[in-house]
Parts: sequence; C-alpha cells; structure tokens
Amino acid sequence: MTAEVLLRLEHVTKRYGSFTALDDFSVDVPRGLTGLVGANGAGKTTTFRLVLGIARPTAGTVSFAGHDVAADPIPIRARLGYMPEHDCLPLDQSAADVVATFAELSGLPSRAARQRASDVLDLVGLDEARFRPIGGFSTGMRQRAKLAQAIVADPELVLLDEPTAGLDPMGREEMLQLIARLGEFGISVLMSTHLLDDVQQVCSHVVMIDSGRLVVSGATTELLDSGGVVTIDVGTDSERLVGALRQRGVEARSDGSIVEVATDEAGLDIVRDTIDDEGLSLFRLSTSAASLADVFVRRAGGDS
Amino acid sequence: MNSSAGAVYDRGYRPYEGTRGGRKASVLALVRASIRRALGFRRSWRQKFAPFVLLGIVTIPAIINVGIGYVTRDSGVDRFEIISYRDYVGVSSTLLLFVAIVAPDVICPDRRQHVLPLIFARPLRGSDYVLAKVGAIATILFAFSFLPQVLLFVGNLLVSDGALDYFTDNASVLWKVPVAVAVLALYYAVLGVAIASLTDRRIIAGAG
Repeated sequence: MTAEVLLRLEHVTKRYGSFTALDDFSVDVPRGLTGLVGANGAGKTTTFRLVLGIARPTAGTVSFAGHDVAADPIPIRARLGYMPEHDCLPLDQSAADVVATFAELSGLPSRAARQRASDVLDLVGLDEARFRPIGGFSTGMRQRAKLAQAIVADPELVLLDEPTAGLDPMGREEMLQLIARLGEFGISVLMSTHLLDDVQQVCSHVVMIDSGRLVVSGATTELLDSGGVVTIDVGTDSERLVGALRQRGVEARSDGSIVEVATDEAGLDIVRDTIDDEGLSLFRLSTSAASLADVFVRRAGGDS
Repeated sequence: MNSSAGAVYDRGYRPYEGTRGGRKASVLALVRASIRRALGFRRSWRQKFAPFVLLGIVTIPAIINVGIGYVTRDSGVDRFEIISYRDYVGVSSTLLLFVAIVAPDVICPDRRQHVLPLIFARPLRGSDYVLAKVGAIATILFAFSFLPQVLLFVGNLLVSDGALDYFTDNASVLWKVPVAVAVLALYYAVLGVAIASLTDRRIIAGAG
C-alpha cells in the first residue's frame, strides 16, 4: 500500500543569482517520519524555505496536502511547525512565555496557547525549567525549547532543520526519541540532517539530496535492503569471477581472494548462477547489511 | 490493585481541537507580544523600569497642575495653570525619549536573536510584521501620552469651582486631544520603526 503523500515537490528549481540551490528537484514526502539527507549546502534549508512559502521556486511547484504553497502560503503555514538549525529564541524571556507567544502567533487563543505551552514543555522535558529565561539554558534545553515551539500549535507536519546539531551523545539520543514520539502523536516530520545514523534510527522514509538534485527517495527499509554487500571467497579465481560478474552487468571488486559485490536480492541470484556457470570453488559467501551511508555514497557516487 | 500505591502517568500528547484564528489573530498576537516586551511584562523588573519611570515623569506636570488647583481652590485668586492641554500634546521631546527606548526593544532583538525566521514561519506576511510593530509602538505612545491628559482633565474637573461649567468650557479637548495624540503617536511610531529597522543593536537604534 502506498502511503498518503503529504508534501510534493515537482520539478522545483531555485536559483539565487547564478547559484542554483535546487535543480529540477522532484520528490513525494509521505505522512510519517521522513529524513532529508544531504551534505551541507545540498539544498535542505532551501527546501524548507520553499515549503514554508518564505521563498518562491524559480520553477516548479511545491504543494502541501494538495495545495500550491506559492499561491497562498498563509493558511499552509498555520498547519506547519518549523525548528531552525540556529539559535532563534529570545534569550531574556522564559520558555513558557516564548512557546505560548508562538502558539498565539499560530492563531491559538491566549488561554489555549498558555495551556498548550505548558503541555508541550512538559512533553519535551522542560516542565521544571519553563519559567527560567532561555538565556540560561544548555544547548540541549534550547533544542528542546525550539522543538516545543515547533509543535505547540499541533501542526500536521513539522520541519526540523538539523535537530541534533551540537548535542552530546545523550542529548542526541533523547532528541531522537522525542522525534520518534511525534510520529506516534500523529505529527508528520521532515527532518533535515547530514547524520545518516539519525535518519536510520527514527525515519521510515528517506530523501537523499546532493548539490540540489535528488539522489534517491524511498522507504528506509527498502533502501537498506537494496544496499547490502556480498562477500565471496573463491580462492585464486577472484579476478575471473569479477570479470564474469561485470559481463552480467554486476559491479564487483576484488581484494586478494575476496570479491565484494554491492547488490540486492536479484543480484545475489546472479552471483550464485555466475559461480555455478564458471565452475568456481566457493569457500565462503556472506552478506552484510548496508547502512544509509553506503546507499548514499553508492547512489551519489553513481550519479556523479 | 493497591489503590494506595503511587502511580506515574505519561500524559502523552493531546491534539489541539479548539478554534484557530487566521492572519488577523496572528497580527494581533504579535502586537500584544510586542507591547508586553516593550513594557517589560513577564520579564525582570529592570525591563519595566525605564518605561514606567518615563510614564511617571510625563504625569508629573498633570499632578502638579491639579495639585495647585486643589490648594488654591478657595483662595480667591485666579486659576493658575502650569500646563495646558495643547502644551501637553506638544511634550514631544518626552515622546521621542519613549520612542528611543521602546522601538529598539521591539524591533532589534528579533533580528539580533534570529527570531524572524520563526515569526515568518507563522501565518503572517512581511507587511503584517511591520504593521504589528508600528501598531504596538503607537499604542504604547498613545497610552503614555493620553493617560496624563486624562488625569489632567479629570483632576481639573474635580477641583474646578463648577464641574459642569468646566466640562462645557473644555468639551472640545475631548476629541481634539485624542486625535492629536493619536496622530503624533503614529508619526513617532513609524519614525521609530524605520530607524530601528536599520540596525540590530538597540543602543545604536536608540541613538538614531
């Protein structure tokens, strides 16, 4: 079953002068937790700016729940939450005051805004610190406060820009757990990061982007299944096996007696048949699960 | 189950199902937040100090005027006024001081602390932001200029020989003063926002 598409970018190009931030970028983002992965400068923040309607695409269309964002971004922003990467909160005000103010700015009545602020600050673990000025918060607490203001108005989709940036391992783990819980609460997440482990840990869908172009998009499990590495030991016949595999369209490389093939289930069948057809002695065959980093490097490398 | 045992409840997350205002509600919320910020509400006493000391200073002439009227009410001497309603409207140097304190505090931190991206992620346009900031400063200036006038009028009314006569003699100030104060407040607010928007440093904006 195909998940419902919440956000759709169709042939989106965004140029700033001579610099092209996004280049004919098309992707569907389903409901749920999605990771937007790419190196610094890949176009992740530009994508967020286009989704929020803060910037307009040079070409193409960005639509949220079927509505063109560029045509009228105001009602769409009321359904979105946004957590920027950098510090963005007034340091001389309390967390409760800041979060309640942003709830009001999202259209909630004053009383409901204060109640929601109290609830979400409790949820992110800042209940005891909510009346302290944000200027006295640690980096981890500020990240939590930023997350609280992003979800205080109960958005359908929350855009998280590098939510674990600057956090220590414990803080990072707690932030990822919080993000994973948002999915349980029915809030969809689009999380930009260059840390593939973060995405692998919490996201069910991945969008990989490089230099403003789509590398690959798909369910995390499918991408991981497609990115396994098969290690084969055929003794002194390794070069022969590599040649035979390449003739069948399977990329392989040898390292002494070991041959490594990056392949999926279908490729595994070809490897087996090739060894059989060539009459090679098979001493060892093992598979190892791929990481998203393997998938990114292979796909981005293949594209370039 | 042991009913006396304590229990920890994970209250989880409650979706919001109440009413949501549109763009207008967001603009009004920004006006309120800016007024709160400028007057130091929900902040430390240091942030409240400057605006309310200024309010006290601009109220002093009204208090003195009414006080003299009260002391001399039965002495038979002619009424003595140290400041007229017209003069009070023209206390523009004090208003400028207000603008120098209030406008930078309302505008500059949004830029210096990078709050603008969060504000513009809400249902607001760029023009709404400017409108809300001008509205907030103008509201404060109007209130701080008009309150002493009210004090002056009510005080003079109470210490005058004939309250009804004083009221009818000075009825025109009831519309002239609010209009004059409103126009002046709006003028200074636009000026203050324009200057404060040129820098993210409060001290420089205040000097400007």
